[in-house]
Formats: sequence, structure tokens, C-alpha cells
Amino acid sequence: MNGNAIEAKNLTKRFGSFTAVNNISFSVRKGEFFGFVGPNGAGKTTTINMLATLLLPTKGSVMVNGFDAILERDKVRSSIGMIFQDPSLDVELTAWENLWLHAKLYSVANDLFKKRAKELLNLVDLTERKESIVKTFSGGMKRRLEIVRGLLHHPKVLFLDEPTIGLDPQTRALIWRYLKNFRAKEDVTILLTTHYLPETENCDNIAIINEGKIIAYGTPMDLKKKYKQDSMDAVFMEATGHGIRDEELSVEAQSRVNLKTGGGLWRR
Amino acid sequence: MNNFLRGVYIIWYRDLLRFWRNKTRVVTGFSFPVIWLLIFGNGISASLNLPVSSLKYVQFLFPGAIAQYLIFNSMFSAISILQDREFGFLKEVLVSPINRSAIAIGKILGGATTATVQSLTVLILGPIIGVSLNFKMVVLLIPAMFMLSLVLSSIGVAVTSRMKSLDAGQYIFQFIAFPIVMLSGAIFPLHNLPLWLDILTKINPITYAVDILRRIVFENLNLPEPVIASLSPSINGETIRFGYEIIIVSGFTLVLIFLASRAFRNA
Repeated sequence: MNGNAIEAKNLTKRFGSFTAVNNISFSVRKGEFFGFVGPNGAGKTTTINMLATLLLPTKGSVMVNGFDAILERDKVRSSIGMIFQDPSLDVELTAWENLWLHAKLYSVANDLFKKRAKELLNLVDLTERKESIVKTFSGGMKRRLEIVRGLLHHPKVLFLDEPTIGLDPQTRALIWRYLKNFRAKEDVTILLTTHYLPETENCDNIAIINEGKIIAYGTPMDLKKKYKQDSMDAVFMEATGHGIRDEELSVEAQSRVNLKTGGGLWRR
Repeated sequence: MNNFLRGVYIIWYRDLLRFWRNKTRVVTGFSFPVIWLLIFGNGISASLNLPVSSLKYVQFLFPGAIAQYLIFNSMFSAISILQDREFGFLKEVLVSPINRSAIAIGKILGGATTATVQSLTVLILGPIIGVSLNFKMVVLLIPAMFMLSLVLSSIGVAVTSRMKSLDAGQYIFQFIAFPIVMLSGAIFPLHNLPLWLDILTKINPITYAVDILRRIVFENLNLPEPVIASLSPSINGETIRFGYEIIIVSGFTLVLIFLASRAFRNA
């Protein structure tokens, strides 16, 4: 295998007549911190779902950690960690039980799990709350717990789909401090989508996606030069235009199409 | 442990864990059979006689009430799949390297286990309405109840794996659970029914599962054999034998488990 953790070729996803992702190709090197940004409804989450085996591409191929995301789904699944845009914890169980279930789902040996969970909980300052029911957690605490959970099985690639959405600036900064600490300690490839562009300033490479197509790619420095701007925020506006995107419309359109084709987001 | 079995085990275990967390639900849920048996059962008993002498309606209703509570509990636990979808946990499971069929089977077993445990509480009401309990009856009832709730959990999982929203859950009760209960002989004896109703009750496989429960209860009540047999479904005047009922129900269970795990592959 070459040194790529992710390789997408001619990736396309259509929902009926709506093309969410239109023939995109990109690769992410092992150990890279990769930013994947775009306006609402641009196709970010659809792409991540295809990379993470939750959605079958209409066309194209995806390799993750050397495994085919269409033909070797279980191998891809074992080797990735996913932090979803929306919460995905079992809020009726304790933090520790959530982690324990995750460890079991990924066949992490018990003693290894305990050591790893303690370490990670410590890293995000949740050790004291590990026996609390998740329902009692604040939004920021839930996010931190989800990050711990996503890292528990030593994934080689970590997908962060808007990991700091809806959090206050203090919590956002805290979460990034944790992630930075973690990156310094372990060799993991990260693919990040976000609307907080300053978070991408430290990325190795960034792809900007708009209307299902990658319209710009490069290091933050390259992109700033290309668009003659001094911040990623300004680059983003310059590249994707200043108009407001109506996600409501595209999501509605998408679900209408889903109903027609019977193809929900979580098919396969 | 084998990968598939491990998946089944984890999903089953989680259901038990959540059940244990929600112990209050067991207590509040208990009001359902109390109302059903003590109020409805005794109320009907007061003014109606069964075509079978030596048995009061409320006693006839006892195994039916167990069955009904079991059916509703099994369906209710299948709806937790819709909750998992709504609140996101299903994504965590679907992105993990666990076989999809293992998830479905774990869910079915989890639902059947918790429904059986919860429905066993109805037995406490037996002595109040003149159905005395004995050890043999309870020991035989547990596997029979488990089998019935396996069927219902499988139906529930097969249906909910296709549904996208939590709101759709109420239709499961309206269009599946209620008709199944009404047509199973759990509420009224399958005697002298109009032909169309007679046919519907006999093609309902749950009828035979309910009858298994009823035979276990009444045989241990020392009711005369012809009385028990007269309550069982019959075809051409021949009462269907106990062994055949077990074959019908277990066959139907296997088919449904298969269908549910297939449906979940596309969940």
C-alpha cells in the first residue's frame, strides 16, 4: 500500500435526481490532519458517510486504510473512529457503560479497554463523572465522551463531523486542546468537517466542497495565497460565495427523493 | 467468542441493562394487567357466563392477559429501535464492525427476554382471581412465554427496521399489536364465531401460542380435559394437538427471525 489513509476516486452519490456528491477524488496521507469544509448541504456528511461505509456510493471507489469501503466494510469499520455531527450516545446508560459497550462492539480486550478508557477520560477531564448517567451531562461533556468513545479502539482514521457544533467558545477551545494533545501522543489520521473555519488553520490540507464538487484544495497557506485572503474564513467566503445556503430546502428535497427511492441515509 | 455471537450478546446485554435502569417502567407498566384483569375481567364475569361451566370469565382471561401483556411489551421493546434511530445510538452500532443480522437477533432476544421477565409479574394476580399457581405451571410458562415474545419481537424488529421516525411507532400498536391480540383468543373464547372471524383467528399463528399458555395454566388447575380442549382452536371439529401447536409456533418464530434479520441488513 502507498502512504494514503483515505483514497476516494470519482466518488458520486445521487439521491434520485439530486446529486449530493458529484465525481470527487481526493486522498489523505497517513497521519495527516485533513479539513473538509463547505457550505450547508454541500455534500460533506454524505461524503463522510460513504467513507465510513454507512452509505454506498452511486459511483466511484473508496479505500480506507488499504481496505475497500464497498467490499471490505467490516475491515474498514474496525479501523476507523467516528464522531458524528448529531449525538449518538445511549443517554440512559452511564459514561462508563457507553464506553464498555463500544469496546465490546470493537472487540477490545477487557484489560486493554480499562486502561485506555481511564487514560482517555483523564485526558478530557471526565474521570469523576464516569459513573454518571449520560442524560445528566451538558452538551460539552457529551461531546467529550463521544470523542473518548471514538478513540477507544485505537482507530487509524478518525472522522470528526462538525465535532464542535453547538458548543460555546470555551468548550470548543477545550476540545481542540484535547484533540491536539491526543494527536501529539498518537499517530492518527484525522478528517475534520467544520463550519468554524479558524479550526482548520492547523490542517495539513483542506478541501473546499461546494454543490457536490471540490472547488479548491491545498494547505491553508496555499489557499490564502490563491484567494488573496489572510484568514480561512475569508478564503471560504471568497471560494463559495456570499449568498446564504438554504439547507432546509436541500434536506427537504433530499428526503423527498429518499421517500421516492426508499433509499434512507442509513441504507447498508 | 465467535464474532456473530458476540454481536448478538452485546446488543442483548444492552437491552437488559436499559431494562434494569428503567425499573420504574416495570412498576408503572404493571397497572395495565391490573386494570385489565381485575376491573375488566371481573366486570365481564359479573354478567356473562362462558359456554364452559366451572370456569369464570376472569379465569379464562388470565392466560390471555399474560399473552396480551407479553405481546405489548415485546412490541414496545422493538420500538426502542426507532428511539435508537431518533437519538442516534443506532449510528454507533451501524458503523461498528458488528454483523447486521447479529444486531437484529440481539435485539429480538433482548426484547423477548425483557418482555418475558416483565410479563411474569402478571402471575402474582392469579391467586386474587382464583387461579392458584404451582411450581410446574410457572416452570412450563417461562419457555412458552419466551417463545411467544420471540415471535412478537421478530415482527417488531422486521417492521421497525424499515421505519424512519419515532412517530410511526404508534401505528405498530394500532395495526399490528391490537389486531393480533384481538384475533388470538386471548380476550374471548373461540366459540361460535361468525365464519369470517373464525377464519381470521385460525390463520393468526399467535392463536396457537396463546393456546399453549392457556393449556399450561388450565392443566395445572386440574380442570377436566374436555373443558380445556373445548377452549382450544379446532379444525373440522378436531382440537389441534399441543405438539402441533408447538411446531406451528416455533416454525413461525424461525421464519420471522429470518425475515427480521434480513430486513435489518438494509436498516
